[in-house]
Amino acid sequence: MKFLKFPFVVQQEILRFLDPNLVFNLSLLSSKMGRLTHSCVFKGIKMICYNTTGPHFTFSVINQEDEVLGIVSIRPRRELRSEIKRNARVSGVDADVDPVTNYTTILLKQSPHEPIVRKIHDHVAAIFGKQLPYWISSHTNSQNKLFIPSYIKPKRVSVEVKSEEDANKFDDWIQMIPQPNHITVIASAAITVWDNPKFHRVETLNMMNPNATTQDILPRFKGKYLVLNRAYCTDLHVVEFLHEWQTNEGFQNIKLVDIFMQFTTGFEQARIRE
Amino acid sequence: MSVEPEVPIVQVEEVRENPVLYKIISSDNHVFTISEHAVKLSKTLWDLITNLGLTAENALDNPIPVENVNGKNMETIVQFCERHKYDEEEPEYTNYIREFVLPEWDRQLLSIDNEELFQLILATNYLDIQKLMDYCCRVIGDMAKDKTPEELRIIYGIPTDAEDDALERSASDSPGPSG
Repeated sequence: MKFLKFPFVVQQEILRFLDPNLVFNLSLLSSKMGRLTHSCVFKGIKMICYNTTGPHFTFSVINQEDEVLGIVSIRPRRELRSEIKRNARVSGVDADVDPVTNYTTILLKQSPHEPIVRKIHDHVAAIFGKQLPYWISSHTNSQNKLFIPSYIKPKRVSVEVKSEEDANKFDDWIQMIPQPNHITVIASAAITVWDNPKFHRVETLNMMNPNATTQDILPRFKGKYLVLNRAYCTDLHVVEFLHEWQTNEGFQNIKLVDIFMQFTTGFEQARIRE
Repeated sequence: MSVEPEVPIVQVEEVRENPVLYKIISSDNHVFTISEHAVKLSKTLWDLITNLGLTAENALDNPIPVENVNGKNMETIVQFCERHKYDEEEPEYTNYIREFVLPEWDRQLLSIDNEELFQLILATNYLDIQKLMDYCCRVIGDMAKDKTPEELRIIYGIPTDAEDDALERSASDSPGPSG
């Protein structure tokens, strides 16, 4: 079958029946296919996910049915698990493609990875839509520092902060990006970013930080959903919050507050019920 | 307009249910009869019928020539349209039709080799039959499942950049129509 001999409208019809990872794979086959996929419109996708965990990068999309569909994974070449590998070019970058995994894995030959990851990001964005919102999920492992790409302005952020250096990097980054709708932070290091107004105005904030107290964030929160995990909280914090809410002095946007406490001792439930 | 059929007229069983019938002549002069409900699945044909002002009284005396579609493809298309003429309208598809499974009858109908499927898709595109286009695309999409990039290259016949460059060079080196 000569796919490229079909009229453009037919090519686009066929591509919309393919899973995103297959569209991505097809885009690697030649410059013509790359350009073709860039000019198609994939309407059913509502978000692009960019996940980094240590030296691994994964791009996926979320469709209208809220399914997360993997597109491409990028790993160091030393992690090649199969002898079978195929060379490919992605936006001018040579890469090996490991076809054994569920979706395409590109094995990077050289370091640093960031410029190549950016090229692949640009290619994914060109296929599935530059205007789509992003969800950045960035986690570290013991050997690696936090990596948050500066060229992505996400609507949704999930970040793990393990060191002071990570905390500073995250703080700088969050100040630079436009206001996200959703922030999740897992922080094992002490971080000071709670002073940043973006945390107060975000619609949904999910925070896990045993070094923080609810007073760091709750009094200033203007969003709708707040989940505090392992935060230090006293009954006085809760009473103050309830008082302000009941007397219309604050928290009028709030729809949900969930506080999971690390320690429950000294919590007077009767006082709160009053 | 009246053209003598060179092959027996295709009599699809469901055609008899509907009193309004139309005649279509394929590019290789095969004549097909199709019911009004079925022909409406083709936007191209139905626009033509409407523009020509064909009615129940004069439809059979005025066969519609379709020069871009041969008899083999037209037979498949008529069968498909008669089979699906009373289907409820599909909800508008989102881009990824992951759950959509091709019905067995249609899978059998579309179990043809790649070149035939290619020609059928061109005919379907010309006649603007969205449902058949979706079904053909599903078949082509299914061919790609669990395939590596290089297997996709073979299935979809996609040349490498080097092959594309060689083709372009040979096209530019060959003498033009006047040479």
